[in-house]
Amino acid sequence: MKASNTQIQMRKGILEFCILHIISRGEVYASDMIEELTEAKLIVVEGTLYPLLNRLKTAALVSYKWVESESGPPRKYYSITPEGSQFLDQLSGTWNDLVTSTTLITSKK
Amino acid sequence: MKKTISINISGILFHIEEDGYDHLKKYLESINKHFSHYEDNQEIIKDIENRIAEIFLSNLKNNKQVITAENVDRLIEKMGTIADFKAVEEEKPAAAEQSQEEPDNSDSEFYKYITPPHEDAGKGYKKLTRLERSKILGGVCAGLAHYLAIDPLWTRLVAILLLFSGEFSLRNFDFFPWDWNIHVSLGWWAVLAYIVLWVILPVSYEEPEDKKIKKLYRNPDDRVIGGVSSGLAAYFKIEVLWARLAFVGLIFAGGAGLVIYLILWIITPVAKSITERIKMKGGEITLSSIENTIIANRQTPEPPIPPQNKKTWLAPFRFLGDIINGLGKALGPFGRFVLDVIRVAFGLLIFIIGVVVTLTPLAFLGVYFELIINDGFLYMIDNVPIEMISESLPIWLAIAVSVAVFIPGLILTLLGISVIIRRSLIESRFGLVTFGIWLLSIMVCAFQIPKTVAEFKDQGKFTKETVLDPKGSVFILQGGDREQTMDELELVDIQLRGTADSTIRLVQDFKSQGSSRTDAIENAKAIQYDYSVKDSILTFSRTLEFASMAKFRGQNLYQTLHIPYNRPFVMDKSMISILRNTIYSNGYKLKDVTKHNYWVFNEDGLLCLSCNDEHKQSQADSLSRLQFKDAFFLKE
Repeated sequence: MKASNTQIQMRKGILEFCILHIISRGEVYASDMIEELTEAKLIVVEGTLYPLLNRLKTAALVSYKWVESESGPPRKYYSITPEGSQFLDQLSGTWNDLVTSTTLITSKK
Repeated sequence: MKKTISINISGILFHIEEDGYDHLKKYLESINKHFSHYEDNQEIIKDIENRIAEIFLSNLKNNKQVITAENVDRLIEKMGTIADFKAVEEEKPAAAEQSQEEPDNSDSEFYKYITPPHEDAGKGYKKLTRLERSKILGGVCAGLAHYLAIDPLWTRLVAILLLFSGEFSLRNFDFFPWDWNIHVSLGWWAVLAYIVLWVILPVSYEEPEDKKIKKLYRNPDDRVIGGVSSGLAAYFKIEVLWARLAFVGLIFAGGAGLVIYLILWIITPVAKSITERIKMKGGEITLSSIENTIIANRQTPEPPIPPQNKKTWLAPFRFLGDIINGLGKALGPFGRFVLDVIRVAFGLLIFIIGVVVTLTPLAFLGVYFELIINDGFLYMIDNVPIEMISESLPIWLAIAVSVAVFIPGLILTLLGISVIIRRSLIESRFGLVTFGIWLLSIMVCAFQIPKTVAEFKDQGKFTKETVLDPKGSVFILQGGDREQTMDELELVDIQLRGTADSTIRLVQDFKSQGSSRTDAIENAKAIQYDYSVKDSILTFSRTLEFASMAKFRGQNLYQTLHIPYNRPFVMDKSMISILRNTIYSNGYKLKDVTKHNYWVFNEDGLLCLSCNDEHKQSQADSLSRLQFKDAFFLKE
């Protein structure tokens, strides 16, 4: 059993949660998301973000609109849908529970 | 100095260094492949391309105009490799694990964003999977073909062949020392095997490797007449000599070579551009292959002078080619019009021949199925339908033969149209498929004909001897009622012979074919034949009763009627159709056979007592004539 394997599993759910969270703060462009996520060391490469965003869009958790850009191709600006907000609330609840539980266990020596 | 290539990403034009282009192309290809099984792969790829365009734009600041290879490498690093993508996917944790373990040497550095051509090779074995992406039914055939590295067409053909091969009875093979009595229906086994494979094989979403594009062109660089042969040679990867020899050889096969050559000349385009030349030789259109072709073309500005002997035997054809090409140029518009008329006429001719060849098997099948329905012809294919299915043979054979004729007809028809409209209607895929079906039907024929023949392999004879005793001093021979259907087949024969015995004997040899001697004799015994003795009249039926026969196995009946010497008899005209070796061999003509003539046998053979000709004057004949000189029937 490799640690990396478990790490991937752990990171996966959290990544979706974080992306939704970023989008929930207001309309956001993928590159800006990438910056934030890379800074937080949640993703390493940009390419992995697009399939994720696509999945969220297909699940109707987020939507996007095209915005013309002066330099370069038009950009997709993502925003959260009502369903997405609901979903995020659930995730937040779970996350808080998880943090509490994990701290409870890991703090014991 | 470096060469640059212009590319268009998301509607923005970039100049990119050649080696950078190479990397980027491979990268995008690998991304395409990776996301190909995602539902919205086009959107994801579009997103990624948009981002690439943006990153490239940001690279082009401060008067920099060209995307360098380094830019591309950095982009790939930033966007992530396939291995990175896999790492975040839940389905493939193992793959992620593997790729993270890989040592970062320079080799894998380069290949890290490409799916290696043989992905499975790394695992040490090839894996048999169902190919979801190129499936028709379950992807089993495609997976098998992929596993065997052959065109899925062939595995599909084999599958269809197995499905329709019908019942395969091992009893027919005599070379087994023991007595096999197993009926194996290959079709059902094939279906079963397919279902089992469908269930047990894992699904693979891997895109089957891109087929190298290969098209039939005429080769302008190496031509004697129209470049057809060298184009064909490139297509089939053979020495051009063989293609030319094949055409020359086929010219002697009823001119077929000439016709095929003309058709191909008219419908295949010349490979003009470099891309077309690469397609002609078959190969991926990549930068390097284009480069290679250009280099190759530059290096040989003049076609190499053929060796003397080759030049000699090609000379007449080259001359012919020059004449044809010259004619076209010299005659100008009028000449071209004439050539067009000739072309259309030629096309029409081919078309009509094609239509005729196409319709023939259809008509044949129509008649064939009509025969099945018609009760009078039941013997043709056993007892419909139970027997038909268990034997399964004649119907498959009929269909296979029809298809084997139908397909060349179809191709001819299409070729005719192609010649008229000057464009090839037959795509290579269609051609391959029809050729495959044609081969299949030939195979079915080859498979079924021996089976049919096996049923006729051995001959059996069954002899019956009867003494007949017609009343009266003169007996009359006549044929039975004529059944209109079967008289052409002449399955009933009767020969008259003289004998020194005092009784009239009828010896009947019932003969039949069968899969074995015993079977043949069984078939022979099953023959029903009617003759009757009524007062002085012997009536012989002129047909076998087919309705009572289980199967048609070439049954026939040869009868010999032994007539005592000097026993007078009359032959009715109705006997003629079944009489054999009797009239002519004794020096008489069929017109002598009437009910007014009286005949006898003696030691010298048949003698007509009442015929006018006096050509038979042997001693025995004279004695016979003397004996019947005063007979009542000659007095009339």
